[in-house]
Amino acid sequence: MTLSRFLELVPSNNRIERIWKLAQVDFQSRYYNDRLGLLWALIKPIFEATLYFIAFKYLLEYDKNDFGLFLFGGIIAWMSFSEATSKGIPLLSVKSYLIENVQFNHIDLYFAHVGSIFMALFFNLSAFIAASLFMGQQLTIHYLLIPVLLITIFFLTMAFSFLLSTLQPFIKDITHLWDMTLLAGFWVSGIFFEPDIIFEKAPAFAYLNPFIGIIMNLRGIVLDSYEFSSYWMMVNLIYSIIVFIIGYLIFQRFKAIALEKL
Amino acid sequence: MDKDIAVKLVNVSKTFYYREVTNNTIRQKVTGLFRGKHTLRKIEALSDISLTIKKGEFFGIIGHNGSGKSTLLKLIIGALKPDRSSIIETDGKILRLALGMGFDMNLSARHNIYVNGSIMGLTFKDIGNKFESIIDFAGLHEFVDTPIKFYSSGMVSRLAFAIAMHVETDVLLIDEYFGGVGDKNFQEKSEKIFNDRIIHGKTIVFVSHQMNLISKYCDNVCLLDEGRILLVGHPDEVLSYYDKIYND
Repeated sequence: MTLSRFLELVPSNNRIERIWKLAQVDFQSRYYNDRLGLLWALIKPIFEATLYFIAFKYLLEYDKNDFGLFLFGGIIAWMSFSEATSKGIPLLSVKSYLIENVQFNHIDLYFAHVGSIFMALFFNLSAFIAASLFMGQQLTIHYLLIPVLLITIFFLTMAFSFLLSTLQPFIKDITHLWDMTLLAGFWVSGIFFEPDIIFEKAPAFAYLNPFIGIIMNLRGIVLDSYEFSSYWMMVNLIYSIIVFIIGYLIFQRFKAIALEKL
Repeated sequence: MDKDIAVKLVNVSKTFYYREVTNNTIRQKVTGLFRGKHTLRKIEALSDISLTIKKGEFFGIIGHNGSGKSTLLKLIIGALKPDRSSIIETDGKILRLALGMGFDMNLSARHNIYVNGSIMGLTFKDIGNKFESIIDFAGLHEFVDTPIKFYSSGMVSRLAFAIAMHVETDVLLIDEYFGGVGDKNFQEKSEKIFNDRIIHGKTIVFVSHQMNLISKYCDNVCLLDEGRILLVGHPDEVLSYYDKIYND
């Protein structure tokens, strides 16, 4: 592991413009070709939250404070990770048209990919915060910690995008495996329930799945009746940095072989 | 590496490995365990290639299909990793010019110009300054915001050529390309620009089967055969050797 390997992660001015452009075209091709455009980024999580709200609140008579916002917060955090990683699987093959013809740092493709997902996340997060404030939630000092949550999600999505896109040429059915993993993650990351039960019964799992802490803390920051934990914030951040380093090193080690196999 | 050298290859080899039975899925990997070992086949695409290309040189690479020409360009640009003990040194920005180069077919010409330009190290301001000139050169004014997938192959080629003319690249790798792009008018225009602007001061590595172009432009030529260098030298010498061995 050399320092220079990691220094190439730091973008220069021109690289920032390049990453921005790649992220922008990625984002535009995802949303702007459709009639409702960027609204789709918001409609999808609202639609999901509404469905689960009806199912849990009315059919299962599940009672919880601010349950609509509770669901919406969990879903937008999870969806950003889920979309970034599943769309990141074919990244090397999708961008091979650039890799084969122009000499540049391939890490930029990952920055841009995750950046484009974050554009939608910022949009949804703004909607979540605006809706929460509109519904009478208080604006607290904890809001200043939202960037830490975003950095944690960023490291995690980058790490898994590195890993999955590098594995994809070797294991073609990784897409299906990852879909199943995401489905399982969706039901066990505390989107529908508070994580206390996991902390009590399976605390080790809370360390393995950082989204339990991330979702809990997002709600803790924005919604008054839910708890915020600085301990889990730090644990998740450290975990995400470690996973990111592992993902990055695996990507650097196997990228060339993966590109040949495409 | 010396300051006047643009590309230096020392003992560069590239071997591709593959299995006759693919095992890229989990099912294939599991069933493969019971089927016993499959021989790992290898193809030596390039063997012990040592070349030095000077700055400003127009360097040709010729050889039959499958001789390793395109693999060599992919190694130079970094899209493929050479075998161990190979040394590849380059100086400056490199662009590979091939049909459909670096284009996302779902994006418009505008976006593709910005993506390629920024990847080649241009700032948005530089790209903005050159944008009209690129579109003008490619003759695509009416289709700037049309996705490239709706372009004819001639339009795509003109756009690729126009971008390559305008980006500031130090080493241009041309893979089976120019000479047949667009209509007669565009061919004349591009050839003039190519002679006046592109060749001047740039290092060009030109892979082609068009011997008249190799003879016209190249300072030196490398003849590849089955991944090995047969001869490097002046075009007249290499082309006559090429004619001789393949006619024999």
